[in-house]
This record gives sequence, C-alpha cells and structure tokens, in this order.
Amino acid sequence: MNYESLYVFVNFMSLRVIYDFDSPLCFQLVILMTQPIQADEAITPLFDYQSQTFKHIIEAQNLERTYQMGTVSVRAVRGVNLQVPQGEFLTILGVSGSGKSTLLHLLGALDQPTAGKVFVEGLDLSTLSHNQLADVRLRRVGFVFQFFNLMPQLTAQANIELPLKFSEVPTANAHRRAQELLEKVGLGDRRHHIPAELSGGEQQRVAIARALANNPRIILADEPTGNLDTNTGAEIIHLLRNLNQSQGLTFIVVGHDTRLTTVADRVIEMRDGEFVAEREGGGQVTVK
Amino acid sequence: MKMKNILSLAFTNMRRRKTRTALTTLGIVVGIMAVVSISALSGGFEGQITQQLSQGLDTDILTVIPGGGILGGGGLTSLQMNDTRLIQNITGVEATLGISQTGTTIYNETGGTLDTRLIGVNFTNLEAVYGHRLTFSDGDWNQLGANDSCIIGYLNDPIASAGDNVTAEVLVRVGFSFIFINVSFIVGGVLEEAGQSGMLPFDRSIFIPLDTYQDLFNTEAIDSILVRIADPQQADAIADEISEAFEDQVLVIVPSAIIDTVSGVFNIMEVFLLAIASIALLVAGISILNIMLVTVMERTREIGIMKAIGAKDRTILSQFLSEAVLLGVLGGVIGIIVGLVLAYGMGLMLPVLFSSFQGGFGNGDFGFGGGGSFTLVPVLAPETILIAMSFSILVSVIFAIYPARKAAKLDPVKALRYE
Repeated sequence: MNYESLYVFVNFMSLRVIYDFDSPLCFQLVILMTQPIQADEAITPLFDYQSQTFKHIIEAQNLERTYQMGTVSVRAVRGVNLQVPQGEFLTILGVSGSGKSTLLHLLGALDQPTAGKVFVEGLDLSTLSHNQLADVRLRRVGFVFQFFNLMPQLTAQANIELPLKFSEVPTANAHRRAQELLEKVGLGDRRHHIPAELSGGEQQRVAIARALANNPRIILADEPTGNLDTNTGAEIIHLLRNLNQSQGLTFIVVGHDTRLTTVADRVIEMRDGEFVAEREGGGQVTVK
Repeated sequence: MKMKNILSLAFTNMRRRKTRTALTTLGIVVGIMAVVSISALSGGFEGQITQQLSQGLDTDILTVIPGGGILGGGGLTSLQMNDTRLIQNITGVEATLGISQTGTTIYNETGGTLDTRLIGVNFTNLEAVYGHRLTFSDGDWNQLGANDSCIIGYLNDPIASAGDNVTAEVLVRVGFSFIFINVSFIVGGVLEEAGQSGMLPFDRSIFIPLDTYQDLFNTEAIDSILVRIADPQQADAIADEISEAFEDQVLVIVPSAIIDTVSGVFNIMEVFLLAIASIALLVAGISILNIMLVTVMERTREIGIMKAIGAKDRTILSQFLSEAVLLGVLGGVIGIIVGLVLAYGMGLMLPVLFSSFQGGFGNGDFGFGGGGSFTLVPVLAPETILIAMSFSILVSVIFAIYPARKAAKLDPVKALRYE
C-alpha cells in the first residue's frame, strides 16, 4: 500500500486551500497538498465589531480616484469630502460619468482610492488587508445594483443565502434568515424561482434582501431604479426608505431618479467627480 | 465558506453546463481508462507468464552447468559425476541428478521412428529428484536395473510399450571421423505427461542409464547437475554455496531468478505503456485548462458579484478548484469502470488472436504450456485503483490552478462591468 499517494488523495478530498497569492505556483501546490484542515479559521471575525467608535458611520477625506485609460488619466473622483451620520438617507445625484458609481465603490471597499481615506464605522479602509476588505463588504455594507447582479443559477433563496454561507452561518440559520428576508421584501412565495423567472422589481427585491443578509448597518445602492419602470421604481424607493426608517439603516443611494430626492434626508449633486451642491431632501416617507 | 457549500455550488455550476462537463470528463475518462486497462492487462499477462514459467521451472530445482568466472568463460570445461558429491554435502540439498543429453532418432520394432532427445541419467537419482513428479503409464522403476533399459517419455501415440525393444541411432566420434551407430534398449517404462523442468524435457524423450551413455560417447563428463533443494526460499543461499564449493567455476541457475527477471521485464514494459497512456491524461489536463479558462471568462460577472457581496479570493479559488476535483472524481470513477470492462473484454479477445501462434508456441520440445489453452484474466491491484483515482484528481486540480487563480485575482469593479 502506497501511503504517500493515499495522503495526497485524502488531502485533495478535503481540499482546504490556504495560500498566499504572491507565492510561486509550485509552492502553492505544496501548500495545497499539505495544509491540514483549519476548522474555525474563517469563523472568527477579522476584527472586533463593537470596539470601534465613530462619529460618522461613513466618512471620506479628500477622496481621489484616477483611472488610467491608455495614455489618458481620468480623474473620476476629485477630492471628495463626505460625512454620513448613522441612519441617514443620503441621495447623490449626478448624470452618468459624474463619478458617483466610482465614489460608491470606494465607500463600499469594492475599489481603492488613489488618494484620500475612507472610514467605515470608524475603520480606516486603507489600513485593511485584501481579505479584511472582503470582510467589510461581507458584514458591514450591503450593495444594491442597477442590474440587480444576482447569481443566475441560484434561486432567490440561494442568492440570499450566499453571503450567509460566505460568513459561515450554519445552514439552518442561513435558511431561516433568507426566508425571513424574503418575507420582509414581500417575496415569500417566490423563494424557489431563479432570477430569470422573476420580474425586474422582484429581482431588485431579492438583491435588497441579499444586501441585508449579514445585518450590515450601511446599504449602498447604485441606481436601484435605473432598470425598472416608473411604478416598480417607486415601490423599490418606498422599500428602501421603509428599511431606513424602521431599522435605522444608513442609505447612500446614487442615481438620477429625482424621486430619490423626495425621500432623502439629504441630497448631494455631483458633477465631473466633485460635489457641486448640497441641500436637504424631501424627507418624505412614501413616494408617488 | 464551508467545504460543503463550496461543493454544492460547484455541483450547481456543473449541472448548468452539462454537455461541457460531460466532454471535459470524457477526456479524463479516456486517460484513466487507458491507464487502468493497460495495468490490469499487463498485470494479468505477467501473472500468466510467470505462472507458466514457474510450472516449467520448478523452483526447488537448481541447475549447475560448467562455466562461471566473471564473464562466464574460463571455468571448468566439464562436470563429472563425482562432482555431485560436493553438492550433496551442502545443507538443504535433498538429491542431485547428473545428466547428459543429445539428439537421436529412435526406431521401434514395427519400423516407426521418432526424432527425440537421448538423455543419460542415473535412474535411482532420477527417482530421487523427480520421483514425485513422474508417473508411469506403463511399467515402473523396478524394471530399470539393466544397462540397456530405458524410459520413454510421454507421447500422444506411444512409440513402444514396456518390454518392447527400441533402437536409437546416435552420431559418435571415432578418432577423426563421425559415424552413426545403432544401440538397442529394452523399454522399462513409459511416462505420463510431465512437461519440462529447466533444461530437462520429459515428454518426447528417451532416458538411458548414464553409464551406458558415457560408454557410448566415450566420455567421463556430464552436461549438468540438477539439484533438488528442500526449501525454494533458500535457493539463492544454496546456489552461492555450490558456486563456492566449485571455486566459482560453475554457473548455478536459480529458477526464481529467471522468473524475477521476466517479471522485471514486464514491469519495465508496463511502466513504458503507462507512460504512453499518461499522455492521454496530459491531453485531458490541457483540455481542462482550456475549458476552465473559457468558464472563468464566461463567469467573470458572477465572480464580480461574489466578490462584491464579500467573497474572499480564496473562496473563488476553492470554488473553481473544487469543480476540478469533482471533474476528476467523476472522470476517475467512470474511467476505472470503463477501463476494467475494456481490460476484461480484451482478456477475452486476445487469446483468440494469439491462438494462431499456438502451433509454433506450444508443441515443441521447449514450449511453454505444452499447447494448453491460453487465458488472460486482468489483474488490478486495489492500490492501482487508488493511484488512478488520485492521478485523475491530481491532473484535474493541477490544470485548474491557473484558471482558478485567474478568477480569484479578478478586480471586482471590472468584473462587474464585464458583459
């Protein structure tokens, strides 16, 4: 009996890949074959949730983001300063190309600024590792996109369970939580449908439920009504405002749908990567 | 993300592209099938050959022939009957038999002829060494006292029976000339079929007393000494002692060493064939690489989504690697089954193809298996199955590492914009 091959075999079956991306391929292979299973490695949070103190739940200081498009550099975000208190519904208005989506990506740890700093719940994102940034996206902020961005092969239920599985919530709990969230966004009866079988409004509701999965206190929405008809759009805005009011969730919503301003606590206008105007929003609880 | 969840997502993804999954798996199946069927067939073939060899080469019989020295030359030019005493004294030796042989033609009383071997032996010694193996269909050991008695080896249609006279025509040297002389013998016994032992063919042979043989050819020398030992495990040690007793002037042939050599040749052949079969696995690996790269490109947006909602690079990496593991397991299992079926099928086919060689293979004096039927039962060791399985998974994973890393390193913002 060749125990060495058995060892390799067993290790592949228990495939637990711990690796460092900068190490050479052959080294990774060796690690791949020899690394024992580390049971509670990812369950421990990467940093302590409660110990951070903050004045603003999200803060941006002199934020810059420059893209290199061939030989031309494009300054998508130019020295933006922003403070968002907890529980605020903030709408950032701007035409496409104004840099509002880029700003949203920077605030949500999806993209890294060229200069300046972002603080999420008092945490300086520039000090975090690649994996810690992923954890910020997983537990601290929820994203809602214009094109819903649901996993096409997964049912509504499974789409919501996905971030719960990333954070290693036990299966039964994840299942229950996804069900509760579907009820909350009014889709209790559509759990087993895949995105292609759902209308745009329904898909966006699933996306919102998914953003809420790991109980973040911040929701970042990128033109959430941009791909919906007028009525459905209004329903979605209503749902967002409702979550903001009932759960005290902080919302930063970018877009050019003016109805977003009627529910917002504050409205900021953005043009060419800069904030050009700021005013109080309509503060309404419902939209027509 | 837990292994269970990663695997279930991998299953979902594989089901989504059934044709692609099936075709990728097919590549691995072909590779593993080739490896498994080759090692099963050559395992069976080797077993068959060594079994037939060990039937012909009794493992408890050593053959001592003159020669030796470093290059086999310069040793004794001949052995003599007295030399058996040197061997007889060695512990573990049960009996010895000095033999000399040559070609002859024998005639019976009714004019029938047979080309055969004329073998000079001491009948008492023959019985001591091979008594357990030889039985008479006619006559017995007791009728073999006289100088002109003989034993006739097995023949389908016996040329003579006990009590008959046979005449052997032999070529002898007198001075500078060669002449044929006829010698008459009385048949003391006719043997049952006994095959062959080392260089000693029993069937189609005529055994005469060694003294008569030596008188006939005017010589004191014998060709070889056959040594029966008590324990075949001791063969090498006893062979060494015999060599030492003759100051390394003789060559001792150990049958198990011959079987080992043949086994070794088969192992080399198997390794060579497996090396060729692994090329199929390599090709399967490259097709996995190719398909995985396409899959990563197709799923760029999904990878972006997963990263945006908090998936770590490692999660994406293990996602793709576990799909590769599943492909490897699937391909491995199917490949092993198909490979075994193929091996058994060929095991049935090959003997039919080989049967055309039977005439030239089995019926001669020195043929293996004595014209018996040739069967081939594939032999696959459990560890071979395990090794084939690990290989299947190993190849799949190795070739998936590059695409999986590529997927894991995608920039989420760019991936989300990918159409």
